[in-house]
Amino acid sequence: MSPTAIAASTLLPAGFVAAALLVSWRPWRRTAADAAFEFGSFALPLAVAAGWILALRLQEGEAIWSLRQRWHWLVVAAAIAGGVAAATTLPWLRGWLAELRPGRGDALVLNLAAILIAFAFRFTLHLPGADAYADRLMLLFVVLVPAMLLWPAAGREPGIATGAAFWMAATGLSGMAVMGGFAKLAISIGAIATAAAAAALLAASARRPVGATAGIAFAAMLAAATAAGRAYDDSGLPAAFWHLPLASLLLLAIPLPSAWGRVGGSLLRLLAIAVAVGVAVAAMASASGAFGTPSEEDEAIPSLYGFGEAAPYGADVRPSA
Amino acid sequence: MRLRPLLLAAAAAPLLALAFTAPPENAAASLPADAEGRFNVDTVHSMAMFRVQHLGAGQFWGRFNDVKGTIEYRPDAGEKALSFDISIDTASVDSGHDGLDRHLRSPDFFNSKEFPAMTFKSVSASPAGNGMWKVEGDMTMLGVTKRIAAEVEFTGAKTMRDRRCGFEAVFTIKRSEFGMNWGVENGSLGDSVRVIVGLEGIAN
Repeated sequence: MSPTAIAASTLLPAGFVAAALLVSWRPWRRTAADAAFEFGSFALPLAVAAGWILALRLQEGEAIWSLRQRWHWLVVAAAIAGGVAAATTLPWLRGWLAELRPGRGDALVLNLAAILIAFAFRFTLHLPGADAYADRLMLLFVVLVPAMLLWPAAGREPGIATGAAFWMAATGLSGMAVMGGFAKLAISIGAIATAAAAAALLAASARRPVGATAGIAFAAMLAAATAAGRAYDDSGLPAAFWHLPLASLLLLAIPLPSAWGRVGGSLLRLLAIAVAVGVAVAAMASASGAFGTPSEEDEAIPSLYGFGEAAPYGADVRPSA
Repeated sequence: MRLRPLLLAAAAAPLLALAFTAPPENAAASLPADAEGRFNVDTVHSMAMFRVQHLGAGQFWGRFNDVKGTIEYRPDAGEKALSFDISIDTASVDSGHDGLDRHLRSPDFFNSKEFPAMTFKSVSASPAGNGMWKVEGDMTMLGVTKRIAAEVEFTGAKTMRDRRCGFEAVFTIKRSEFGMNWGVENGSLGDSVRVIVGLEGIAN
C-alpha cells in the first residue's frame, strides 16, 4: 500500500467530515442559543459513517459491497451507526418523546438510538469467534455501554477535548490493528481518527461541543472497529487490551470535582485516556513481537526435542495448531 | 552381394516391429502399477510453495506447511483416471518471518480465521506425455471458486514400508480474481502468483 493510497484513505474522509460540519454548523452564524447546540447536528454522524465507508471501499475495492467476508459488514455497521445517530435529530421524533417524557425527551431518544445500534450490530456483525452466546452478549455490551455513556459527555465537554479523546482512541486502535497484521482495518480506523481530529478542531474553532449524536456514532463505530480488530487478531493479546482504548473514553463521562476547573478536568481526562491507550498499544506491540521478542511458535520447535538436539528424520516437528 | 539387402532388411525388421507395436500415447503416459489406487496425502512430505513479485523487483517465496487430501489413480476411468482432492491449511502459511506470516493470515490476504482452508478438486486429467498430465479443477480460496489448469508431473512411485506415489503440480493464478487484492492496484505486490505443490501419497 503506497503512502498516497493510505493518505487518500485517511484524509479524504476527514475532508468529508470537515465539509459536512462546516455546512451543517455554519459556524460563521454562531447561535449559542440554538436548541441543537449540545444535541449535535445530523450531518456529523452521517459524515463520519460515510468517511469510514469510503475508507473501507478505498481499501477493499468493489469487493467490499459483496459482503462475502465477515469484516465487509463493517460498512453496514457504519451505515447503521451513522443513520440511527442522525435519525435522532428528527424533529417529530424528539418532539414526540419530549411530550412523552417532559424534560427527558432528548435523553430518551439518544438512549433508544444506542440500544437500537447495539442490537443491530448483534445481528449484522458475525465476526470470527463471535458466534458463541457469550461473545454476542459481549458485543452488545461493548457497543451499548460506551454509546449510552459517551453522548452526554460529547454534548457537554469542550469540542476539542471530546474530539481529541476519540482521535486518541481511534489512533491507538489503528496502531493495534496494524501490529495485528490487518492493515486494511488499521487504515480505515485511521480515517475515523482523522475525522475525529477534524471534528475536534472545527468544534474548538466554533466554540461548541462535538455533539451528542456524534458521541453515539463515534462510540458505536469504534466499538465495531474494536470487535473486528480483536476477531482477526491472532497475536494472543488478551481481549481486555483490545477494549481498553474504547473503555478509556468512559473517563469522559466521569464527573470531576469543580476544583479542577473545566480546562484542568479536560486535560486530566485526556492524559488518563492517553495513558490507557498507550498501555493497550504497548501490550499489542509486546504480544505481536514488535519489540523483537521471539514468539511462542519460534520457541516451541526446539523445546519439543530439547535444546540443541536435532529432531529425528521424518518427524513432524511442527507445533500443533 | 545378394545377401546385403537381406542383412539390411533383417537389421531393420526389429525397428519396424518396434515402431508398429509401440504403445499409444495414453498408454505411454499411464502410471506404474505402484501408483494405482487411492492415496492419502502424506502431510509431512507434502507442501505448497508460492511465488509473487514484490515491489516490481524480486520474486518473493512462501510456503504452506499443512497440505492434506487424497490422490486417486484409476487407469480405466477415462478423463478422471487421475484425480486430486487437496486442502491447504491457510494458517500454515510460512514466509520465514512472524510478522509477515501474521499479515498473510489476516483478511488482507488469506483471512485464515474465516477461510481456514483453500481447496482444489480436479474435474479432469489428460496425459501430456513424459509423465506429465494436464489437470483441470476447481480451486476455492476466500470463498471464491475458479476453474484452473495445472501441469502435473508424476514424480515416482515405490513400495517401501508403504506404497507411495508422488506428484508435483505447477500453476499460476491471478489472486485478485479470488478477492485478494492487497498491493495489486499500486503494483507493490504482483497479481500473478505461481504455485508449486509437491505431493506424496500413501496408499490406503
